[in-house]
Amino acid sequence: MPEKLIISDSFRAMGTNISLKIVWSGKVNDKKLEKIKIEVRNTFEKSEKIFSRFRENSELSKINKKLGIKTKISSEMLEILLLCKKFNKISGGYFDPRILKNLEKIGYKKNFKKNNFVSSGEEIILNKTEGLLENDLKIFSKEKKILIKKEVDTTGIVKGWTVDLVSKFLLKEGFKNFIIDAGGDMSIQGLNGNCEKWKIGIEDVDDTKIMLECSRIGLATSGINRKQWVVGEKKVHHLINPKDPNRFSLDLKTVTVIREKTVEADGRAKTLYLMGREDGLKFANENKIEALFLDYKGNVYLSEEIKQYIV
Amino acid sequence: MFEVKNRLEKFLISLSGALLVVVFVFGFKIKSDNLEKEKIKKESEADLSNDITSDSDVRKKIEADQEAMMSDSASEEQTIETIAPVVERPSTPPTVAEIKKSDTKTKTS
Repeated sequence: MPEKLIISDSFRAMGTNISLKIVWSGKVNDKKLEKIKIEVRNTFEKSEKIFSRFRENSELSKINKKLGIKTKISSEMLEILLLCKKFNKISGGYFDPRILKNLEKIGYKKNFKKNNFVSSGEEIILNKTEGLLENDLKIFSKEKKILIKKEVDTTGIVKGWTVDLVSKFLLKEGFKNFIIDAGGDMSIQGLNGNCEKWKIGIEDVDDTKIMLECSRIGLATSGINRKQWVVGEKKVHHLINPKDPNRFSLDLKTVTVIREKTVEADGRAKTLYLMGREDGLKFANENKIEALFLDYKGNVYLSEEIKQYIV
Repeated sequence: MFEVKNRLEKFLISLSGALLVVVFVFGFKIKSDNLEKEKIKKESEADLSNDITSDSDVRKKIEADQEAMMSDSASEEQTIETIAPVVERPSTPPTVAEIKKSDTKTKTS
């Protein structure tokens, strides 16, 4: 049996750490390997060029300046906006790309890692997102055009979507066993170096207590443990509830979701976080979503569907 | 004939006779006691000659008894009685606790 190699790469993109781990047996073609690594990095860079709201010349920044004007968009942007509409619909409005103005109001205008968000001392009132999304975001799929009335933010699902692109590319190139991880949005394929299903621990929870054992899935985690700051007297974070934007939920630390595709897990993880533990768990069970809730006391709550992955 | 002339003489003769009797009685008694002592001594010596008189003798006797018992036991034929059939169990390797460690952890960005 040929020796198993772990090929790994890590770099920074889309405001987070990206890591790639491939289990490979057989001869390693160094040139091909280098090409693969470059292609993975380029895929993330391309997504950032299109969807970054911190780059003035990104496609997203450009279309947000064309409110009320029918605008041509890329295939990638079309796909992401269609996904935004879908998640808005299935979440009953908890997932909403129109939260951009509120994000900027609480100071999240720049890359979080590079900037410290310092409180201005003033109390800020955020506006509730009114009306249906389809009224503010009209998509003309055949023409690949949109008409938006309010600025949108697609960053909620873009990382997960990009991870799926990379995963598809690696599978096409003949790699079967790997994990691609973009700040917690993961595509987990095949088996690990011990020829077993990959074992995924939960951040801040000891591996001996709980782990997820999985293969051929997408996994995403949403939470506030890394992005919190103070505005006025209020502790805030980037997960704004469009239905009640001035109330920042602080009881849940993270929500992890498993789906076949990472982007599907990503959109649902954010939705469940915003719903809170009780409503989120109920929603997950009703909709057969594999979800794990972790609160600040260290309690873990599982939906029925995720129990099959627990070891 | 000898004639007692006065009372004093009579008294002295009587006293001498009494003393003679006392001496005779005591002399007989002493002789009798000596004979008794001699008899007891002879009996004691006869008993002690059959007994062990020191610790070393006691140990020697015990050891001698033990050796005699052991040699008797060794000469006896040994028999093994099966009380219950012995079931031979297959040997199992020692269990090692599996260390639960994840390949990676969830995180948020």
